[in-house]
Amino acid sequence: MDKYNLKIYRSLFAAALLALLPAAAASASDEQLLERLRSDYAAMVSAEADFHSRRERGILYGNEAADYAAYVAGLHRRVAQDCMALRENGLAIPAGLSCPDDPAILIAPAAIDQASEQTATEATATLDSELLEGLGEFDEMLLREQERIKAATPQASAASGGGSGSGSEGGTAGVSGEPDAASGAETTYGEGAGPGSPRTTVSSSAPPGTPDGHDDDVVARQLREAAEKEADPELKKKLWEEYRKYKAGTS
Amino acid sequence: MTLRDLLPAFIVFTLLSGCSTLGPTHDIKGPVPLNKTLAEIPEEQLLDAWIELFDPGELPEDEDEAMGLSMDIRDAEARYIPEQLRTTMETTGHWGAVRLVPQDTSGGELLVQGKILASDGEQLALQIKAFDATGREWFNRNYEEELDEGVYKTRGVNSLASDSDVFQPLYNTIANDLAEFRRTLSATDISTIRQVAELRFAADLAPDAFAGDLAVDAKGHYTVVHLPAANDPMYQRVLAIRDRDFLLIDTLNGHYDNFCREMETPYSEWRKARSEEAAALRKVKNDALQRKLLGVAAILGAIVLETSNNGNYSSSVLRDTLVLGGAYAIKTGFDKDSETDIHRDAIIELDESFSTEARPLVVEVEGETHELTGSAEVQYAKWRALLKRIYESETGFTDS
Repeated sequence: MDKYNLKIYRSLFAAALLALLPAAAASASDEQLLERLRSDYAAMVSAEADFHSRRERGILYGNEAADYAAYVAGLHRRVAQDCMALRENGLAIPAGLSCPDDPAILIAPAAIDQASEQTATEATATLDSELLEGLGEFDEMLLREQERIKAATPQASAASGGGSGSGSEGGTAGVSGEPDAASGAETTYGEGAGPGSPRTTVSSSAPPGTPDGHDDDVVARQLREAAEKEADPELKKKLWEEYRKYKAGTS
Repeated sequence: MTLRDLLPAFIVFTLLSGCSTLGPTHDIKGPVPLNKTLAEIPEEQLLDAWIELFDPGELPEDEDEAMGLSMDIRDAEARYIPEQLRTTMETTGHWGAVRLVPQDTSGGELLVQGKILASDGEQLALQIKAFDATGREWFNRNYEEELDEGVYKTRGVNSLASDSDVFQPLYNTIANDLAEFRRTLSATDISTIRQVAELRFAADLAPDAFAGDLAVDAKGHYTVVHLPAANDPMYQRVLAIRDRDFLLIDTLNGHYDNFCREMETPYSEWRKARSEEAAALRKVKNDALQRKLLGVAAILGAIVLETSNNGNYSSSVLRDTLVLGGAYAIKTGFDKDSETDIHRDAIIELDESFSTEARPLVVEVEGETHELTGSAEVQYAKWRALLKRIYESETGFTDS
């Protein structure tokens, strides 16, 4: 399960727990109390059975398992509170329902101790999820930073950059006839372009209609470099498509 | 030992000095063609090159040489000059990614370090060291280029921001030397450098898992003891983090790009104006000196004439003329001296003005860099701890 699905599950569990706030039972009638107990009990039994079933099938682990366990524990607390409310009103617990003997115990978050139940594989999976989440957050931080850099790029200089300048000082580059073949194939930006110039220039391998890359950010630059260097024509075409899509999305 | 014995050694030394492309100092004169690849190098044979921001060095001790120069300017140059080298190297096709990195950044396959020995717009002298990830020193050389007078004039105002750098021959020479050394390495050498760079990063991030895969000798040379399997999950995790490290460096380079773009025009204008003022100052100084020498020579001539004079009227007139002319020439020489102050003041003013412009740019890029690397350091520390826990979870080994 990827980090995005995991986040969604966690949000759902959190929302479910919020919905189970005991304050809702403040001034209910006897009939309502009985109905709530039946409903909560059914939910608890169902959730508990589902939890164990998933665990046995090995499809519930890591943070997701911990969240589910917390959800089940919350239902246990809810049933215990319902039972207490009935007893306080002098009502008998309906047949077929068993109330937890000591609700105080159930209030403890360790109703199901996930940490001790996790196997080494599950623990590694949990830590891997944390790592993935951290990597995702780091990527997002860098993307935000790149957007900021792009916004701060001096426009005047950017426009003046991009000189192809394949010659060295004095116009002697190209001596021995070597540079043109090489530069046409793989250079990313002109030697004479200066620091203000973009890293990419129009390449002979770029399909018609491809932006010239003068205002590429880091991601676009990497896509462009990958497309320029790719030898497989199919993959190259796809990379150029990705590049154009990305440019269209950021321009 | 006689001179005859020393002669062969002297000849060898002279010959070696003559072809000094690999000598300790490169004195660059005139254009230098840039050595580019003839054919595309396969990806697995490319080395990524990281160029550290340069050491700004020290200002000259001589007051005349240091006139107006400041560490603010040097700090700006320490970021601007390596960017020129970076763009030059990237154009050659000999390298993978060529990036600027802050000082003391580890993890690169090839690391280029530089120190500014002299820079005043007319002269640029750099000390360049290059190492690869295995700890092998490629070279440690000085590069120096002094521009011919009037170079800025011939380039024209419009070329300030668009042409190659005025010291491009120097950057080309450094790039050529690096490419030359790269050519001496075998495919196995390149592969080893790349493996060691990866493993050094892995060992830094997850020492429990990977420190034993590398051996380092007393000279700081690394060798691979054991290569992790390509599908080793821990290695995959480390490589995923390394990708983020590259992305971080790319992002930092965005800041350096912006800095250089903002620096480019004022820096080029400052170098041009300073160079012109310095040339004018030298000319005035020479004129003043010539006049003073001429005056002294005339007076000396008069003295000689006086000693050999036998009462001849015409000799007396000539003597008087020489004395008066000499005195006048000396006076105009001193007058000319006062003109040097105008050019000195102009140079100092130019330097102060450019310092004022460069300082906030340096502070800004430095702040951005610290903020980004600081956040990254915190994140890396978390990842180190996390990898340690994963390692313990996977293997059951703990410190205790």
